[in-house]
Amino acid sequence: MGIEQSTIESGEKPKTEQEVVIEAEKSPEEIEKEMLTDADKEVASFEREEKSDLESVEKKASVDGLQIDTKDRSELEELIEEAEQAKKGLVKEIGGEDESKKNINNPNIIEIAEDKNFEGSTIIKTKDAEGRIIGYALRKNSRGDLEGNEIGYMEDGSVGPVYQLHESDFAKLKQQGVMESYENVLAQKNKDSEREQLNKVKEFSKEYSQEDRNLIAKEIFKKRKEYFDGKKNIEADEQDEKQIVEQLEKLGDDIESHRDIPLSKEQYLKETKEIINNFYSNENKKWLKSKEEIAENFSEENLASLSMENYIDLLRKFPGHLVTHVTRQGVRSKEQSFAYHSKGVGQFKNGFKDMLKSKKLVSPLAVSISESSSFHDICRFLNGNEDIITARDSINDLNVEIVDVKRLMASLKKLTFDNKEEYHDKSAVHLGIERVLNAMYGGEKGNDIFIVYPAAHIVSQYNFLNKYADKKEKNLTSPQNSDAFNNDLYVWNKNESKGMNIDAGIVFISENVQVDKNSGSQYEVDNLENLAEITNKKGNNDDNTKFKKSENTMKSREYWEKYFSENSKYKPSKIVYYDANMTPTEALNDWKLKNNINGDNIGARDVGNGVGVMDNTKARLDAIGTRTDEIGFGENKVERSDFKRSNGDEEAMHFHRLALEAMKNEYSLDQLLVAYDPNFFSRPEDEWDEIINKMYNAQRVDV
Amino acid sequence: MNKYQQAWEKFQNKMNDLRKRQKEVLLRIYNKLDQQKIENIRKKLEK
Repeated sequence: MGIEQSTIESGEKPKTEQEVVIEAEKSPEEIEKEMLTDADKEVASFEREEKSDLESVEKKASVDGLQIDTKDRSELEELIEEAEQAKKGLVKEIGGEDESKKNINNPNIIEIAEDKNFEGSTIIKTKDAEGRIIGYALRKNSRGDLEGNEIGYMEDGSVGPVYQLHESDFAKLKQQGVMESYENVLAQKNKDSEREQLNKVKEFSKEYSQEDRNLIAKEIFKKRKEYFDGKKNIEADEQDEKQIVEQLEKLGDDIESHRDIPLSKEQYLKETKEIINNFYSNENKKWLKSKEEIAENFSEENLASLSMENYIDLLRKFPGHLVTHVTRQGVRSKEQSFAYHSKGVGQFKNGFKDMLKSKKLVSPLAVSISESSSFHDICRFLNGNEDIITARDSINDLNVEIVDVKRLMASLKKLTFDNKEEYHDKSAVHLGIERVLNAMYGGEKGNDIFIVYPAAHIVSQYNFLNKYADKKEKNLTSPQNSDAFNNDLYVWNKNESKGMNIDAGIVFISENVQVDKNSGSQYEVDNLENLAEITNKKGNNDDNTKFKKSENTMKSREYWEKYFSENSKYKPSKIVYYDANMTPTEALNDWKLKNNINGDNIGARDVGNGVGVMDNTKARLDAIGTRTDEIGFGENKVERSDFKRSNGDEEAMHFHRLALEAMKNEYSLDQLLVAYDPNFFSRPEDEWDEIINKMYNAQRVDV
Repeated sequence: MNKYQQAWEKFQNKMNDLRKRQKEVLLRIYNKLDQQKIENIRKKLEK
């Protein structure tokens, strides 16, 4: 055999010299067989490695979006075909047979044998279509020419008729594959002969040429070593190349990650899509979907802590409706009052500044019973907030007319017993829905200061009553179409009467009206808050036009900025300075429009008309299963029929006792303690009246 | 004996040649892919 052939096995461990020598002693048949096996293995290995490498390359190309050259791919495929051809060439050259092709041409040959009766011919027995057995005795004469006989066999196997074969017969036998079988037999005979010869040589060399055999074995060993070393080098080279490619790839990735590289179209689309998806996912999280989220976000504490920017951001989400409260700062104009709300007209009031001291918006009742209030203040409240002279006030001046305590008692009875609605009215903070109600409750016209709160803050944190909710378009989320009195939202603290934190809302102050540098009013006001009147002024005495405008003025914004600079602790956390050329409601809607709050359907046409409800408000409210007049907090709503609310009765009783205490002190009516009886006012009126008269008269005698 | 050795050597030479060419083609493919990748990076840098 090829002595080296057995060394070619992929991954085979190098053989020792002794092993090589043993192999060298194999027969040609064994060598031939091993050669074919090894060739098969080598070609298979070649194909397998190529396939593996190609798959690896394809994977890499696929990851990076790269394309393998089709010509190169075809060339690789051709190499495999060439390897197959090389193997076939080897088979052909060493005379071995491809197992798959054996007996293709001689399917009818049933036996090949030697028969000395026919001059040492090779007998090839065949079976024809009729099942007859015919033998061909083939041989070569001394000249090497082919000759032979056709033998007919009997059914019992004995020899029948025998015919001499002619040249034309041999051509026919060739077609039948008989001649090929004969040639193979001859070849095998030659091989056997060669093998016999080799064995002889082998035995000879063992006896006479052991030294040469050892030299040849060493030579073979050397070649084997070269092969395996070379193979190792190749593998090492391949490993180096692989590492270099990996380093290059890593370098490429590093460059991409460290530089602001413009993206490919696919990458751009993918990343853009991710950005959009993330954006909407985050936005979705931001939307307030539950009552708990609304209550949390619109709590007094949270609103007070928000910057103006974040506050606006919250109002853009859900729900953006606003409620308002106008203050009495400056000289109250008659135009901003009506028959039942005309108190203080033509007078200078510091309603806003007083509010800033406590940073609270509180009810009239809460004002009278606050910690800073005196018993006299409570009596004043019982006197309809009109100035009052009590018995205590008259000690030093008996000539003054004392307000009868019976009047105050009657007022208390009316508030807490006869007409609870009045008590609830007095104990509530009153707000306007979507509009600023300056035309009825405002202070100095053209110089109004008002506070705005989100409707969601009211409904989620307080007890509330929208007094005219039963009327058309008067619910909390509907645009209010007028400044009429039937826009009235009652608000009560749920627990204690602590009022509403101003910092939880936004304070709107006129920006560009000329005001007195000292008072902040457009009119001339002295230190005692007295107004200077224009002499010889004709017209209505209640009209502010009778008052002299201040000549020592500055812009209203400058005045308030200076005031807050000097009184920083009073400064509201969120202030909007609005154009005084607009009405307060116009200013509010203008601000909403500019900040895209309830913005979609506020057109220029609507500005000033108080229209401003988002198109999707209904959808949002529906999403959390709410009624629009409650914004999902129906449990906080107070019914006008009974004014029942969480601590309403306790609060009324507390006020009742406080009021009695105030009267007792201001009128020295110790015996009035009887009125602490909760059933006092439930007695028949004449009995109640008699008791009061008796107590009052008795005390008066003592005084 | 010579016949086997010659045939085997011929087969081995052919297979060695094929392996060499196979290696060359694979290397060429790798080079072309690297070139493509570098080209892609270059294009991104130019944008």
